[in-house]
Amino acid sequence: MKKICLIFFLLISTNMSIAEENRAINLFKEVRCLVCQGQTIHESNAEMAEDLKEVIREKIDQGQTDGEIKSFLIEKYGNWIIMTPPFNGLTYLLWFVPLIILLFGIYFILSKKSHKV
Amino acid sequence: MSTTIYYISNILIIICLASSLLQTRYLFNINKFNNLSISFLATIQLFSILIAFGLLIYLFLISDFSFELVYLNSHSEKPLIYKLSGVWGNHEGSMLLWILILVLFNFFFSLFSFKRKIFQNLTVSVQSLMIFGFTLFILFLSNPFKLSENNYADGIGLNPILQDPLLAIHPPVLYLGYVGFSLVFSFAIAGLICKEIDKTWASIIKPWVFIAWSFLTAGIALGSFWAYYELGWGGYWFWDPVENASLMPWLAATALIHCVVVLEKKNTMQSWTIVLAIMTFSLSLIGTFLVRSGILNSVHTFASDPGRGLFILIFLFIVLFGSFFLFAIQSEKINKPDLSSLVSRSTGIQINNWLLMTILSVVFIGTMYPLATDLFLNQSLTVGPQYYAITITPLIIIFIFFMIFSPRLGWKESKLINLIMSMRFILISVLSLSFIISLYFDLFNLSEITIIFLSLILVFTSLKSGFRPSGKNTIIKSNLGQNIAHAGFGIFMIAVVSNAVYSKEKIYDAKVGDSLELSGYIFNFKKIEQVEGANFNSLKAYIDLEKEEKILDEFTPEIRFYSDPPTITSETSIIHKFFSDIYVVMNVPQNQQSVSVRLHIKPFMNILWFGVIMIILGGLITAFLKRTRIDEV
Repeated sequence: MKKICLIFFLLISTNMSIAEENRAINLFKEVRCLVCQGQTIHESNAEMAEDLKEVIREKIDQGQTDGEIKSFLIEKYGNWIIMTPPFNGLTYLLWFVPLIILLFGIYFILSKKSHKV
Repeated sequence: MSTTIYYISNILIIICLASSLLQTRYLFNINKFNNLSISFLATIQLFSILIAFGLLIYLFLISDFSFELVYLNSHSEKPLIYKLSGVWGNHEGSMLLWILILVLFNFFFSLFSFKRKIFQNLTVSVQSLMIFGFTLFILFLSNPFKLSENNYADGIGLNPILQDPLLAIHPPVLYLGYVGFSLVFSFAIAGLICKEIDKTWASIIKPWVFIAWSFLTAGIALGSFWAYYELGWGGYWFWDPVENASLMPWLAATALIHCVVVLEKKNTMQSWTIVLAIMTFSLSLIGTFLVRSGILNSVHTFASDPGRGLFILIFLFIVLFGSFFLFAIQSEKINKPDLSSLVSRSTGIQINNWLLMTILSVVFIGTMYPLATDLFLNQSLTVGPQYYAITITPLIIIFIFFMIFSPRLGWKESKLINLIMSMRFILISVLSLSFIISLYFDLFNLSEITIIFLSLILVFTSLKSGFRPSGKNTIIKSNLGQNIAHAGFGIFMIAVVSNAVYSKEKIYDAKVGDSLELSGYIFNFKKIEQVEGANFNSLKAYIDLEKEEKILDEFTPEIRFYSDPPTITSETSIIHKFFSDIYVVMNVPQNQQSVSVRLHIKPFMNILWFGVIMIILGGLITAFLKRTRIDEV
């Protein structure tokens, strides 16, 4: 029984680490390598990227959420380090302008057509 | 010898400058030089630049380092093909190439005989004004024939990342696209001045627009393919600012070719066409500006000089301001009413054009926003691929939807119900097919299923209407090109989505003798050795690919060490299987014990490139198949 428990425990713990490793990889793909040109730390094996990967792995081990880790990185290195721009005062225009342009165009095409009918 | 070439080449550039200035005479109504025909001057323009370009090639081939450009970008031990591609692998040379293509288009256009002679004269004048501007630019700001002050024994060499056969042809092909739209722009300006933008206008410009568009597409695809195997990051599109700079004119151009078709058929959408013609060319200039000015943080920015950027900016300002001013005062007179109803093909095309504009605005904002926040708010920001995926995916879904239905609507008016009934067989079979596909491949993301589902419908409906003969005598239908390109786009989208979903990768710290594993494949790391290449030393690894106890193939990724200039590059090794690419790349070793090896499985890459080739082919077929006879104009 003890053995089975142990195996079960091992299975769970390995599964956990696979899930955590996936989380780590997804985070690596979100973090920019500061010394490379446009690469994420996932794609780079520069020393700086390796260090950051280690930091992120540690934070995951400590049980921090993705959000917490990202905020930590932003606080330390600035918005620049996160690949996907956050949704805040600085980026409202970035996210909304395409939508406004789309709606304007639909309104424009429809109003032009309906005038004639 | 060198000084002779120096003088000859500069005189040739001045000859081109002078003849271009003479060519602009129709813009100012100067009748003084009417005995000089435009084709005669266009021939002089062409030959002066052609010989100058030939001289530059000669200088690179014989490695004449008394010229600064050759010294900076070539090396005597470089293989011949890279001595050749070194000519346009730098700023000055590529600007000369840009001018060569400008005069080339100008020359071909001046050869045709038109009945509406004034159109041709004005087009060649506008085109020559641009040639004049750019020739002035290379003469004073970016002269490729500058003698160096020192005597150098050997050159610095071309950036090794650019030493690649594909990259030798990427810039000329891309430029044929970019510059092709200069002719379209000139023709639009000529049309605006004459106030005659109609079916005839569209039928003359149509083949040129499609040729330019096909080259632009091919140029972007070549760049993308190069990035795929040379950069070794496993992707084919990185939403890098320079890639975006070429995508923006492409999006505008794609909207433009559809407008030209509507204009030719229905004599409407004049304003759209003109604005898009101006926009496409301006975006091509911005593309040049973004790449050449060095304001971008990107792998591509190998030439940085703000002074030259300023020139392009002023040039761009003149182009934009001048053309939109002309458009503003003439637009009332050129517009013809759109008589089609809401449910019609032209509405479909208008909607999709607007979607293209929206995607363009996404790309534009995504590229410019970080520059703007950095400049004005002192806040740096990264806009990565995820931003584009989130914003473009919903747009693409609507886009493909209208791509399916609008070509099957009549030009004037249609009933939706008839359309759906005529497509019922395809709709039902594709619906069940995508259901099976999504179950079989565990595909449960709604937007992914929708894109694949719609793309499949697009492929089938396009192929069906492209190859089913309609009349008795028609073997090839006039919309063959359109259908091939649309089917190609469907295939491309399916490949893009499946590739994004099913790509697998793994990074190992590997030693010789290790067996690495990725999705059922075994990679046996056999040996690593030093190899001497043409102008580099390399560390070459031999890795066997094994599946189910059988050796299938061998990978040979390399790390190359170039000495001129000192650079380290990583060469990928790719095995192209029918359904997926298996891709191995080594990272530069950090220690003696192990080397970091990255394994990728990239499904549907062949199919993705096949889709792109179909798109280009479709464009070329449309350009050449149903040519309007220009002599009747």
